[in-house]
Amino acid sequence: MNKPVLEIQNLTTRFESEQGIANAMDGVSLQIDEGEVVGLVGESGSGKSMTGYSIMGLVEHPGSIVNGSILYRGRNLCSLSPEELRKLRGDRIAMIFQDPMMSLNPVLRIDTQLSETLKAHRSIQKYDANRRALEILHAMGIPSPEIRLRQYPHELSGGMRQRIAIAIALLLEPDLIIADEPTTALDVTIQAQIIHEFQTLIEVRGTSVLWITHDLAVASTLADRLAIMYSGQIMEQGPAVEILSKPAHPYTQGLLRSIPSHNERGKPLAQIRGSAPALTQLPPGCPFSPRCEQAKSLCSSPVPTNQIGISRSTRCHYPTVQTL
Amino acid sequence: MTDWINYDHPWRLAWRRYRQSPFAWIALIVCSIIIFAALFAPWLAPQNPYDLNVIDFFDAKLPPGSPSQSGFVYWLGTDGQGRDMLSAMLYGLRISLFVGVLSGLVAILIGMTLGMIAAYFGGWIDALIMRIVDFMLGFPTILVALMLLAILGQGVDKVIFALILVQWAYFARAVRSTALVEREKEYVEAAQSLGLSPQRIMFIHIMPNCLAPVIVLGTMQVASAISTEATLSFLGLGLPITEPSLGLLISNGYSNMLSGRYWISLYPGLLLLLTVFSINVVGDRLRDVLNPRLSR
Repeated sequence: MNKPVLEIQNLTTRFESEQGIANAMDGVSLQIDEGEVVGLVGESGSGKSMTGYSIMGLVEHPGSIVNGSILYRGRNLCSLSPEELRKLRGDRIAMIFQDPMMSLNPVLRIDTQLSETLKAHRSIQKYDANRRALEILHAMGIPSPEIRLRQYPHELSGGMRQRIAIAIALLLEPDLIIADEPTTALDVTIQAQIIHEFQTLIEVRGTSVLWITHDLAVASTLADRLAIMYSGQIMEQGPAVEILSKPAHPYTQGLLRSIPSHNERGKPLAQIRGSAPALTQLPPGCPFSPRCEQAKSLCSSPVPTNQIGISRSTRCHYPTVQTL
Repeated sequence: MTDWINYDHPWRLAWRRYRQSPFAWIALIVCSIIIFAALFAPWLAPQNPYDLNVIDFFDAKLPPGSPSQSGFVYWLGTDGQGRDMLSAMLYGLRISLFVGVLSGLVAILIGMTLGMIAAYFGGWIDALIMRIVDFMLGFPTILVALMLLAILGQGVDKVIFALILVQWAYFARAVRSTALVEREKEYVEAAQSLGLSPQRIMFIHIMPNCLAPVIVLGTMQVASAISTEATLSFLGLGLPITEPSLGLLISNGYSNMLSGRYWISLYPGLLLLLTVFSINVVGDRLRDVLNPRLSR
């Protein structure tokens, strides 16, 4: 069960522009095992979405992967030809996007969009494609799927559209799903339904998931392991339970403290002061140091990734395990 | 479940908005009548103007309303060869529309494909295609067409070829600019992430989203092709005299204008004007209703 599906090693994705060089991902190492859900948590601009794009090989000019490797079942995705990568995409590795209003084609009917994916990877008869489409819509909890198949995206609600986007991603039963904030654009009630349906589906199939989100609460309900990202670096990673109860990196601690809760009613909400630095103007050493309350002089020198327990690591000179 | 709302399809919505302008509505009806008349010319025309057996040379240059030898009335008069003007105009309209629409459609096909390829692949492919487009658009349409026809000679096929050559660049430019915008949308990324091939993404996923400006431009270009063809024919470089288009009819009557036989040029001229004008009004209205900046 613990064979890795995906191993990202020391991956650096760089964007070169007139403003300078920005490393959207800076030496990221991450492993996803079979059947495991890894939550990748970070603020906007922290490089979490870029991680998804890098895996899918969808990094576009002026960005490029300059260092490191992405191993899918031992094959390095960075050295595959575009055609080999295309065959993996959608079939073995699928992606779900944040905004279902945008990720479905407005002028194509739902059944066309589903069968397009099937046709891209399998030689399949129209009848079988239709049956497979009905099956997957049914599994995603979509009522009267026969009607939905003949509709256009604008005729469906946001929640329904995201269910369909997820159904398309699950269509060919991939080993790995990269979910880029798939529930962020939805109401909380719909969000809960969709997460529930998604969870059931991946558990049955043993699909691995990289769940990218800015919402620690969502990540903690879903993920087996968490990786916290900041300014293109993974600050801390480890089992979700341990990170949530005993965060080691000051940034993780700050994130956890800034979640509103019942126990702190009436008191001012803790916050991380300042804002994330521009990727072109990162401070030397730890990128979080200018905002860190525990920063010392050593923090402006390069930070190694420290192992702080079994399958737990943090990128901090002074990791202090805090029990919250 | 009641969490889905039944909106209208964008095309149906555009159609409903189109009808809100009575002027455009009339133009569309006029357009339809013109197309109908052109399609069914052999059944509508009182005489076959190509059949020399039915043309009576003694009927030449009769004013409108004169009766013919064989009984019917020349409502719009006759031309220098004794042809019924109404029949000649219906057949001429047929040729004019055929040339305009066919050259437009082929130009759309070529222009859309090249524009899409330029937008999707970018880089040197884009640069190459767009420099050719710039080169084509750098010359006045009529000049290019005149030079081509001077080299190729007369004939319907040659005129169509010349019109395609001067038109495709407009479509390539329009499709490229729309496709550049569409290409950045998330549904394209989603299609890529599903492992669809570039050809499918370009022509099945992006292309239908670029149709609105092509339809508008296509309508305008058909009108412009019809008038370009008329100009070429008028100058004597377009269609052969055996298959007179509207332009050629105007040209034939031109020499009779000063001798007071206005009808030989005037009526084909009015029909040409009405055709180009109504197509342009329809195109204008289409641009209004298909404009993405207006609320959808």
